[in-house]
Amino acid sequence: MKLLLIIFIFTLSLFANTADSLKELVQIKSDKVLTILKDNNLTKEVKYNQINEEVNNLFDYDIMAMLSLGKKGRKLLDNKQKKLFVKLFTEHIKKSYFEKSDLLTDKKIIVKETKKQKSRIFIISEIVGKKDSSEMIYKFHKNKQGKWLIYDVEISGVSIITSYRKQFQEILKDNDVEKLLDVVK
Amino acid sequence: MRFIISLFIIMSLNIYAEDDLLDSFEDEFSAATEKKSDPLSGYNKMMTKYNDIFYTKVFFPISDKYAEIVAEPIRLSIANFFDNLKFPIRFINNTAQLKFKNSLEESERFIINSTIGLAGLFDIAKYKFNIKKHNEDFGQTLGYYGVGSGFHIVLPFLGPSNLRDSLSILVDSQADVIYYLDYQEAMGSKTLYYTNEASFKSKEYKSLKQDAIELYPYLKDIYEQHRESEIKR
Repeated sequence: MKLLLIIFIFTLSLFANTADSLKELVQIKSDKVLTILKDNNLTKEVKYNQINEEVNNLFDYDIMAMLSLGKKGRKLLDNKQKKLFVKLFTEHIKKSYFEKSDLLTDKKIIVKETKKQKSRIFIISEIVGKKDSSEMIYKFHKNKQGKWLIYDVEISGVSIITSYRKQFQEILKDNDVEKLLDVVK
Repeated sequence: MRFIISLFIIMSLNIYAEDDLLDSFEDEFSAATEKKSDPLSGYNKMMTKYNDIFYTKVFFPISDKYAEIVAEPIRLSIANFFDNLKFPIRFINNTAQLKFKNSLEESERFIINSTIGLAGLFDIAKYKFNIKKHNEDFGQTLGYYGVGSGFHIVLPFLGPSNLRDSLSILVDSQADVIYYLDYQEAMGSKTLYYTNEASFKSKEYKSLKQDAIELYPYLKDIYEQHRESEIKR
């Protein structure tokens, strides 16, 4: 009994340490992204590549793609189509992230706190602009290899995955899978 | 004891099958993607299209020109001035939601910014005293007390809204100083307010649109998600 309690407490403290490490990691990466964006000597293409290098290994693109399809949507795609969808969605989301980052050039990102929800860790940050501030939440989960990766990003209460999921649902309601793949291209 | 063991097993369990892993996210996303009735969808789609043409061809080009002429610090001061005038709306709705600490801070902000901040032109409360604004409107107050959003309505020029929030605009306007000006002054003030606001949002709108496969359902979704999160906050 005592041993189990010790292991349980140890696991909880590991969870807390992980949250703190992720918080620190998000702040470091955010600062690096802002530095790249503010560097006027870099072309847009170089900025895109450098930002991708910095943040790519933080995102679980496979899970993001599958979550954006939803449970029903996933059943409509065969394995080959799923692979293609993941590839196209990943490219799409990378471009979208870069375009959104471009809006941050005159802003600051302050990572404020962590929140643990079941087996997820949310890193809550604030985008501070000259006029307004908005909340940005990076949502992490532990993948099969035991690595903590982002599966969703929420900006001002709007979840990116929920937005895509709704749009893809609408497409699959009236069209076939080919249309969906065409739209994500 | 059993609870602790179960919790420990759940937390330590690392080996998920792909489907199990994906299913574990369903609770988080399925509720948010539930379909809601949209009786005005035909009108809404049409109005979204007209609004988009108005924003991209008329409104944002004007506000972009305005931003070129009027320096950013001046635009920020104009935004602060109008924001300060909206104090009664925030105060009433924070109080109505029993958020008394926020109401107190709103009062402090109004007193500081109206005096030291030169009639609200400078947000001294935020930058010198670290007292932040607590945005609340009547739509959020109704939502706080459990009133649902009702069906979605796209308002001419103003954009996405819903039944609850549209009616709330009328209620909040009673606490807005501009409502009590004569027609010409009110129109002038509103035009300046919206043009000034748009001068900060032109890029954001263009960037938002890039993620839209179809504009109407996309804008509707992000509006409703955003409002839900504001009410829960």
